[in-house]
Amino acid sequence: MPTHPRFGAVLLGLVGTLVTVPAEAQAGRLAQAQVLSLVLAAPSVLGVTITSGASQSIASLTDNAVNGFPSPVTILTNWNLNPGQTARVNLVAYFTTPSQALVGGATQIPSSRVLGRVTTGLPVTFTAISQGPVGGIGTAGGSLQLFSQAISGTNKVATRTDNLDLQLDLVGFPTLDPENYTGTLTLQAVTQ
Amino acid sequence: MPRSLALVAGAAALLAAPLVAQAGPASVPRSVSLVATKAASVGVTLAAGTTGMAPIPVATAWNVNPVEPVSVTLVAFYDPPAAARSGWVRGGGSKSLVPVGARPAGVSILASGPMVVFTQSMAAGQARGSRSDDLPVRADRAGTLDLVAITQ
Repeated sequence: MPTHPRFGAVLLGLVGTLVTVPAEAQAGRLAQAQVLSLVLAAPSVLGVTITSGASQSIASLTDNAVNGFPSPVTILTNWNLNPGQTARVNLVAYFTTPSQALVGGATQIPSSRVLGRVTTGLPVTFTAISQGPVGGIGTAGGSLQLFSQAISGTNKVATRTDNLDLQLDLVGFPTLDPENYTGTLTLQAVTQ
Repeated sequence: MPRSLALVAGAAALLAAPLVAQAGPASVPRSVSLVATKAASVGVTLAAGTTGMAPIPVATAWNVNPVEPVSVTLVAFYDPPAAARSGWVRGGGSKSLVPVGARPAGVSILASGPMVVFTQSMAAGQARGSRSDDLPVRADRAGTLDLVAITQ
């Protein structure tokens, strides 16, 4: 991993032409010069870390009610990007199979019943995880864009921390059997 | 000129690491595990302010794990214990009123031989349900009739 920004900076924009020359030991013979062109691009860095709340649980579900997960998912997003090549950083939450966001026994709870909120991001109120992909990341009908951060020269190397609050909306949903309902929500950042 | 060759080799080595480590346009995905638990439940409710000798409407509801075959039993006790057998309830298929015992202490309810109002077996697909009963009651002393729904 190119974790040292200065390393990438040193390489940034380096366009070199190196010419090989014949070895000294080959006295009396002169090989034809070979041209090797090197073009380097700065490595992009884009990462997501869940600093807390990676395991969310509701101990006792109530039918026909909105059930809140008790603590938020705290997400650290970091990047080191070239603003000439990257306009925005987006963070997306999605379920791989939207119709089966949570499953228990034969019962499937769709992603439209799982609501997310990021008060420092885009869904500032609880919003169903039923949007489309962003920048090719996410699933149709099972995604939620959590933030979209414009990239410029002043924040091309930066981090941000956001809290994702989650709810399970069972209002109008058929009465659940006593079960453990489990699922996995994926978080991924993507540049545009 | 070995020095030039060394420079070429060094430049190639510098190139190798960042090219391999370059991130794509997306980060590595991270996972949040979600678990929501629905607990089994069984309950009995009476109309608010239910008193007197008239038949008492009793509603019993249950929602239990369908993979555990059970029955629902509604039993009755009379408080205070000193007043036990001063109240009568008709249930358990009896056509007449049956004395109600005291609520047991220190033993399981069913082991104490309670006055059973009804027992309903659950066949497949009946893990969730409810029923309503009118419970004839008579009491010689003031007291409280306790109704307890049990699954087993």
